[in-house]
Amino acid sequence: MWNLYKWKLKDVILASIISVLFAFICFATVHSVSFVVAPLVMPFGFGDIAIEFVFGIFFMSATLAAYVIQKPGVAVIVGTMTGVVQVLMGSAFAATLLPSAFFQGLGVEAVFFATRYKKFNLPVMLLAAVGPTITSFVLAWYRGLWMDLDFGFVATRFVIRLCSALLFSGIITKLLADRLAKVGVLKSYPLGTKYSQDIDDES
Amino acid sequence: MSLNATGITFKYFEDSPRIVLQDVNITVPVGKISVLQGKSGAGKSTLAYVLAGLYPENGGFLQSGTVKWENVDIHTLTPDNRVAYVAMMFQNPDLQFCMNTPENEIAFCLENIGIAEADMPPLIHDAMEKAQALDLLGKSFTYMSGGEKQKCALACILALKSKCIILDEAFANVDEPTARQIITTLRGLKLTILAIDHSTSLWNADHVISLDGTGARVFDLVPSLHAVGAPVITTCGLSVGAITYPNMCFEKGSITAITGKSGAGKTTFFKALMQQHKYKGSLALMGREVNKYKKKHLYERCGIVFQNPANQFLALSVYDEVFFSVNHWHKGNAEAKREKTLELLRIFDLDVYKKYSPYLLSQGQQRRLAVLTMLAGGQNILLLDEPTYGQDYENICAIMQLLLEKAKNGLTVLYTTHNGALARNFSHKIIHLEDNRE
Amino acid sequence: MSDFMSKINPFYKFVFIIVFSTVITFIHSLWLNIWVFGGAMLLILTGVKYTQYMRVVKFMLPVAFMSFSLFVMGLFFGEGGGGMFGTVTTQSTQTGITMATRFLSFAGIGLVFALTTNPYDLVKSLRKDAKLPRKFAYGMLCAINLLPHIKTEYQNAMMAFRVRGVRVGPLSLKPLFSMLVNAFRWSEMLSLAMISKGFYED
Ligand SMILES: Nc1ncnc2c1ncn2[C@@H]1O[C@H](COP(=O)(O)OP(=O)(O)OP(=O)(O)O)[C@@H](O)[C@H]1O
Ligand SMILES: Nc1ncnc2c1ncn2[C@@H]1O[C@H](COP(=O)(O)OP(=O)(O)OP(=O)(O)O)[C@@H](O)[C@H]1O
Ligand SMILES: [Mg+2]
Ligand SMILES: [Mg+2]
Repeated sequence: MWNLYKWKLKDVILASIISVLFAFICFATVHSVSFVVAPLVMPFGFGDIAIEFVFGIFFMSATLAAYVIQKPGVAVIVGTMTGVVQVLMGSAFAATLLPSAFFQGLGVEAVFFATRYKKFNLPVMLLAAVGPTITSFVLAWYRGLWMDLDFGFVATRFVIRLCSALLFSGIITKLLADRLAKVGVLKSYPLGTKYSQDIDDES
Repeated sequence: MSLNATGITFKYFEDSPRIVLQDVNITVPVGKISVLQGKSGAGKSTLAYVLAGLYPENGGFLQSGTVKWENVDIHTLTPDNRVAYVAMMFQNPDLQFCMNTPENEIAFCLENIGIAEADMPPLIHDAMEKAQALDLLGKSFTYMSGGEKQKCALACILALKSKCIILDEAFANVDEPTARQIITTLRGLKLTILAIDHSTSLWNADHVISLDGTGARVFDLVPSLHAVGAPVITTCGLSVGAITYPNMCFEKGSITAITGKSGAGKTTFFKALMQQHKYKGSLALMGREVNKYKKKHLYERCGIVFQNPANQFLALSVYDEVFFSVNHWHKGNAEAKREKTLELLRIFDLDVYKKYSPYLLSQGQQRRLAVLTMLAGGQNILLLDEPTYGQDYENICAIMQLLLEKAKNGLTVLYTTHNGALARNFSHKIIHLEDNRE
Repeated sequence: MSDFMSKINPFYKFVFIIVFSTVITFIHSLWLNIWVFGGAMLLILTGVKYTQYMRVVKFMLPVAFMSFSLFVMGLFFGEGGGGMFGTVTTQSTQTGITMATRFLSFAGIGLVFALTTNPYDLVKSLRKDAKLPRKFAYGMLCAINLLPHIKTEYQNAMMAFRVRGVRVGPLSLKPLFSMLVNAFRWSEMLSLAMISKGFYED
């Protein structure tokens, strides 16, 4: 059990690289959505909602890292680091990002914690997409003063965010990671061991 | 006194039938320079990792065998104690560094062995000087050429002051004159050195160890070269960043070797040709400026093998990697394409690895695979950045023969190399880039 | 003009913005928002080298834009607002303004931090002042130092695909996948490189 808590140097570097990589991706997503898509819908008051369609992308780093490394704390730390890196890159969302990133990571972590870091199948991954959807939504609701907004409007947002999360953070992340395992780069992680066996037989 | 490895049997996967090292015994005598040789894929790098104590601690399975320096078992030491005995420099010059500049990297090394920050500057200076890299001290690794990185990696290893150093093709990207100077310095240090290299002459080795019975050969194949066609690439007053180039011209069907000190701008030239760098002056491909091309059209005409080929794989297995190109560029039914793919793999000794992921191949094998995927393509210009680095004699010949065959059919080949004999024998002309940066 | 903000210990700055942004999360006041944003702008204008002003502008543009779009949202969908192009009331206008300035205040704090802190110094100071374990500090530094590398690698990946005749658009997953493969290879190689240089991860 103690082993489970111990990060290897490799895990630390991997977690950091994933954070940095996804910070780039989130940064690009946020800015392209706010600049390209949002202007088109802004006149209707929907400017802020455009981001909901890609919200799942923000959970990907934490989910992916946790799925591969399978150790406690990975999701929270990677989620938070993704936020910190974006702040340092000068994201428009700046300081709002830090608490968001932390809560998103926490949402992912909670799900994996509930399975005691033992189960990593599709249903669990989908749940791990629902977790951060809820935490991030509650935070945004409180912080963004959404109680002052129309309920239907807010509910629509939630549904869109949930679908996006299931797609990006649940399904696409799992597909990516499983493919990574097949390439053989995960051979020292639990996920990779099951693919390494039949490459040497002839035929 | 010596570094002794006895009865080493090692494999990468626990239940795979492929044993990479089978009962290997080697002795590296103290204070001498030993050169380790063997075909590409023979397991030289793997052995180096085992000798340096990195495997099996960080990967793979050591089924039997011990590595000892006198009576000290290397594998029982912790990393910080181990570097007092052995340190190793990796084959791939990228990704050896965790900090941003050589200065910080060496400081990191020194911190590991418990040296106070105040004592560091002279030690850093000294190590960089020995590796002929003093001018690179504050330069970011991101902007270094392959050879420059190798020199810095050597400096780090020297700063650790280990008794024995293992150098895995340490000078493959460094020009010959500089490499000779460094080796002379190393000899003066009276270190125990195990160098993995396909050439023994460079090292003037005291002791040669062969992993599989093969020895080194200087490239001596002299092919009969065919006549060349009209110019396809011409440059005039070309400069990229701080690097200026002589006026060059490459004819259709010609094979050109580009040589020059490391950092002279060979890779940069290729990148400019591939629209990865902006340039000034004129660089024309088939009569049209390169920067006027659409990327799509440029890449249909021009193929490239990177200096670090691991960056260009896109399939899950070696077979798929080659099949992908064959499928894209060749006509015929599926069976014919399959045959073609296997035939190509056989030429380069890669057929047994067809189910391997490209990333699990040895460095030399990766490079051959990259060359193969490009040769299977239909571009009529091919840029190869050090295609023969890390290859044994047979494989260099196989690569060059295949290039020659293609060139006869009109492929224009540009390759960079630090292998003088190869460049002399195997090219219509050699372009030597002087180091003329401001 | 001086760059005194850059000289403040990055870790303390980091803690400060976390605490501060958490606190203002729980206080909903229009005036607080305006004060915070004004203060942040003052710090940026006086505390950042003027050579960095172009960066300030580059960072501010999206911020201004987002805050305007928040304002429009509040205007239409805020309490009392009439939905899309509906009637606009003073109350919904107020909601819009509060939302917009709130965003500005958060952004202001973040910008002060981003403009005056370099990641390298932050990690160094985390190690020194927050006693971050060596393993984590150097692991993170590794990743930070890869930042410029990641950009060139991405271009390389795009080129590799195109040279092989694969079509890749900005939205395709293939280059992302290549980058992930790289991430794993890098972490493996870098950790080996560090261990071979005597790094002991106890
Ligand atoms: N990480 C790995 N996982 C699985 N197999 C590997 C790995 N690295 C190398 N191999 C396999 O082990 C064998 C020996 O590889 P190694 O890198 O030691 O060769 P080498 O002698 O250094 O070759 P080169 O001169 O081409 O660098 C190769 O056949 C290779 O396919
Ligand atoms: N992106 C970059 N930005 C700035 N300088 C660079 C960049 N890339 C390379 N350089 C510098 O340009 C010079 C030429 O580099 P290049 O990689 O072309 O050398 P090279 O001739 O290929 O050397 P080698 O044989 O060692 O690979 C080097 O001094 C290098 O430090
Ligand atoms: Mg090797
Ligand atoms: Mg080069």
